[in-house]
Amino acid sequence: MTFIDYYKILGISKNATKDEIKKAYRKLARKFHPDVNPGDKEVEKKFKEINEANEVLSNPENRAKYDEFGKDWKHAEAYEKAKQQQRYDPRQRTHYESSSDEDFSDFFSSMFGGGQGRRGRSMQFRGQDFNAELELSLEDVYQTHKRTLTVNGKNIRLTIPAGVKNGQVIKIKKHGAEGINGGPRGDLNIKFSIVSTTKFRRDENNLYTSVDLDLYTALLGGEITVDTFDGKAKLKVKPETPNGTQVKLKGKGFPIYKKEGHYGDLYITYNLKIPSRLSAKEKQLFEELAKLRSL
Amino acid sequence: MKEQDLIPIGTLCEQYRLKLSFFEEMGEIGLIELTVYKGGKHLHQDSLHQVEKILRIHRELRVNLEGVDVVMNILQRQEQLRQELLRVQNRLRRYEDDEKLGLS
Repeated sequence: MTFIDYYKILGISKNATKDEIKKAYRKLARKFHPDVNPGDKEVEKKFKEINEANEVLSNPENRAKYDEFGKDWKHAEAYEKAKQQQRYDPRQRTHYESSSDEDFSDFFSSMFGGGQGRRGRSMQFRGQDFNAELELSLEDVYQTHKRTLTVNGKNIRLTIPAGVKNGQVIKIKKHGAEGINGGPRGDLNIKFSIVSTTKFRRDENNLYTSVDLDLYTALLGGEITVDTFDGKAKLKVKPETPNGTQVKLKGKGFPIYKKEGHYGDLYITYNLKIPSRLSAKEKQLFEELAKLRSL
Repeated sequence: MKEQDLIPIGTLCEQYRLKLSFFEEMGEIGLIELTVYKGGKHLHQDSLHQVEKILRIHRELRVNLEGVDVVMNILQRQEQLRQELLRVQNRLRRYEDDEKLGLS
């Protein structure tokens, strides 16, 4: 326990007037109030110090006691004990217990006993919610994985379930700002921003992509190999498949959020590729085909 | 909007020992949004946290409501910047993690 110089905290001289104390306190309170410095622990600590200094110096009785014992303040503890033994008031005790002593230093408690002298700040407030945005790629959210986030200087290890959606918000309870006057902590809301750098487009749990289909396979049918999100799949193409045909690969889409082993579908659109730089022979054969068509 | 989510202003005046005009002034300045329901003014319960913050700044720092509005706007801007910074930090971390794993 160390001696705290309340005059120094408020930046005033030992013979400051009541008005000077009030003015100094208000100026510092405006600067260090937790509501105007959300989530800043250092500022919160400073604000508590300022409050404590004001509690002592703005009260003439407390100030006189502080001034008297300030230099040799350890004597104040014994003095206070003796005084309390003489005048024990159970109602007052209940009052002390109902409020948090965390707001005051050991030095203050030793000199003034518990929460004595403090103003009635009984209203508790829930801490502010923190909002963070986390950008992930489509590949990242294809599988459940862990990630470390830094929020307000704290590292938070998160398990991100596969299939989390773009814009989805996950609430992590009690990871927001601390409550005021012992109120509960706020929550941390993490909004996911999912970006796709692959050829797949995601809509809910389904994936969409397109593949090139050569003219001959489109006309005559056949088998092609296509890329799925996590591998390859063989596809049978029906003869005379028109351009823009969409086929569905069941269960080859995106994982369904919090439904392990369940997937959406993959939709593939065929883009017909017309052969170019035809040889003379090819040209001749196509002309023959054209004639057959016009008959 | 559900009825049970709305708190009559009268109840809040009693709770916070404030005059009705104080809530109306907060509404006029745009610090809070009041909803008229069954002829009476109400506050949505989600705004309660905001009201408490306004009251603390007003009472403990002796800032008038116009000043509170300025403070709230600056805090909102600060929060936006904080979120942007977080987003960039987390994005950077992603690249750093990839680099550590030799993915880039």
